[in-house]
Amino acid sequence: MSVVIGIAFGNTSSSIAVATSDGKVDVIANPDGDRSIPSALSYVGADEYHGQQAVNQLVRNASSTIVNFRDFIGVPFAELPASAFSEISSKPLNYNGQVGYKIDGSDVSIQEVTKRHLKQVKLAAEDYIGKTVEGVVMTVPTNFSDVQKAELKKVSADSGLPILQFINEPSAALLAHLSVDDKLLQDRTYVVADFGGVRSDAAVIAVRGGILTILATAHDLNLGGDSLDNALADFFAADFKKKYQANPKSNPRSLAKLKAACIITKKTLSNVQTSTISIDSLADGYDYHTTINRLRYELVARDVLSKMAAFTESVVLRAGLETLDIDEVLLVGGTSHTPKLASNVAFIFPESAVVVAPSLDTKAINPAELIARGAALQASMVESFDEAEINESLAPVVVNTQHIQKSIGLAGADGSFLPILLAETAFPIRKAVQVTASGDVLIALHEGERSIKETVLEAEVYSDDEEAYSDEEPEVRRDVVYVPGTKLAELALKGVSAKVEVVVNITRDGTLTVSAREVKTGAVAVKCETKFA
Amino acid sequence: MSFTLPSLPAGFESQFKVSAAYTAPVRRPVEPVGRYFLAHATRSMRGHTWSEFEK
Ligand SMILES: Nc1ncnc2c1ncn2[C@@H]1O[C@H](COP(=O)(O)OP(=O)(O)OP(=O)(O)O)[C@@H](O)[C@H]1O
Ligand SMILES: [Mg+2]
Repeated sequence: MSVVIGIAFGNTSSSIAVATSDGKVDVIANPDGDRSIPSALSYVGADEYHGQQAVNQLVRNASSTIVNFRDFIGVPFAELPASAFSEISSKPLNYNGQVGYKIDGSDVSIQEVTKRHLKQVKLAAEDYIGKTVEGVVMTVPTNFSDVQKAELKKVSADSGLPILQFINEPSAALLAHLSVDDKLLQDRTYVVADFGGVRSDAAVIAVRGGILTILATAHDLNLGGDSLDNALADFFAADFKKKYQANPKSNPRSLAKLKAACIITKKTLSNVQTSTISIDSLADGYDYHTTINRLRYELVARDVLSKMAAFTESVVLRAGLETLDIDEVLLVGGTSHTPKLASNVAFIFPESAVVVAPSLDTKAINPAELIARGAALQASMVESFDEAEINESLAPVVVNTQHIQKSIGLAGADGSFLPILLAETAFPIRKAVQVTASGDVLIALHEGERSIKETVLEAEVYSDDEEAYSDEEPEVRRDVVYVPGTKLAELALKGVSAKVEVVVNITRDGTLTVSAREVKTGAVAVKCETKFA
Repeated sequence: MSFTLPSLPAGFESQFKVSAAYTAPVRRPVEPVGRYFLAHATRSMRGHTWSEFEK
């Protein structure tokens, strides 16, 4: 088992994963048995609580329980959003212009808080692996700043977890998803939509020749699982008020109890159709017992869930694409367990797009574990390199790469287009296709032009209700099709009898060579080259 | 659907014709993850060409 591990450090929870020698990945549980370890610390007397045990302190010891701090690492105190000053947990304070928290009556920096959290993460990992962890691949949101990364790198090293590489959360998640059945070499365009606790993030990622390129990102820092918890808490609070004329939202402890119960109820409703909720002495000494079914919950949470689906669509528009251009939507983050979220997203995208979520596909990887799994896979890949080598591979000259803007492929006899390289393919690249051919043939290399093909679907025929039929708008199906555009080059191959292989190669400086030869021993290739405009 | 190459038009005498340059590319960062990135990085750093890499 590897001694370089992957860590997904979220505001709400952290996951640790490690690659095993057979290429699989284990997601590591902490001593409490949690694989989704709450990123939380609580101080009661001389005791430090971590993970779920710290979260459990939110009811009795809210002011000494620290949650949701990841995003504030490396952010000046003056720039914290209002939402940082939660009523239900320890509030950030000004620590020499940076963020800090009060622990045991003294001010402690956010670096120290992070260090204590990561030390616990390290302990859990080493306990599981049985060896000292030597390094980590750590994931961060795509909008984490360089200052934030530098700060996190320093703190992580101080807690005994040197960071060998930072990778973006959506790319880690997609890597984990595509590593199953080795789907990396299929050229496809993905949306990775990550619904966490306090925030939602999305990215459009083009995968071409196994290389991932982010085309657009979107962030909503006030949308996440917490918004669902709040919607549910409002609903139950109103119900409780009606029954007992007492408001559980008017005092922090009642509110904390209610929220904790809502989180459990919400998670239960991801798996089953009904859930009971039962809180002793919720407010003014009254207990609260009730049941809720999934349908009711989905109504209560409707606005939040619609926002999440709309958010997923927004990133596609940011990339200058339509939902029709997306091959697959990967749902990530704990909140992606929610069945209605998955079905709302599936509704927005055309049927041709695959939506990956546990409620739609029982074989889908746990969305809360995808990011850590990807980090562990990357960890196993960089393990054999030293830091200087890894840094060299991350240098701008390596990473900033030219990408073609139109697909390049062959024109067919019937006017069709066979793509060889899709738009957004990074070069240098070399790709070959084989096509059947006979006689004297023309290999015509073109750029592809995108167009929309509209197909009027046969309306259902209502035999006994002619009027309803005639009023109905015929359903139109839209598909993206590519047709040959600008002609780049043509090659002649004479007297072929079986298959022709066409190879397109673009060098680092952008020189495009196309060559074609009959697939048989001794066949001579015809080739020519062009450049970009 | 199978793809069929067009037959060689009459009068196409040369072996090849170059008609146009392709659309200007855009420089973007690629994500430094996965084994195909590793291969890309190795090629870039060592200045290897594709054919060397293929060997
Ligand atoms: N089975 C489930 N059904 C619904 N929601 C769930 C389920 N499991 C976890 N969640 C919710 O997922 C959220 C946490 O997601 P995740 O672990 O991805 O957070 P994170 O990456 O730390 O996010 P952030 O940084 O946005 O807070 C919480 O709101 C939690 O209640
Ligand atoms: Mg997250």
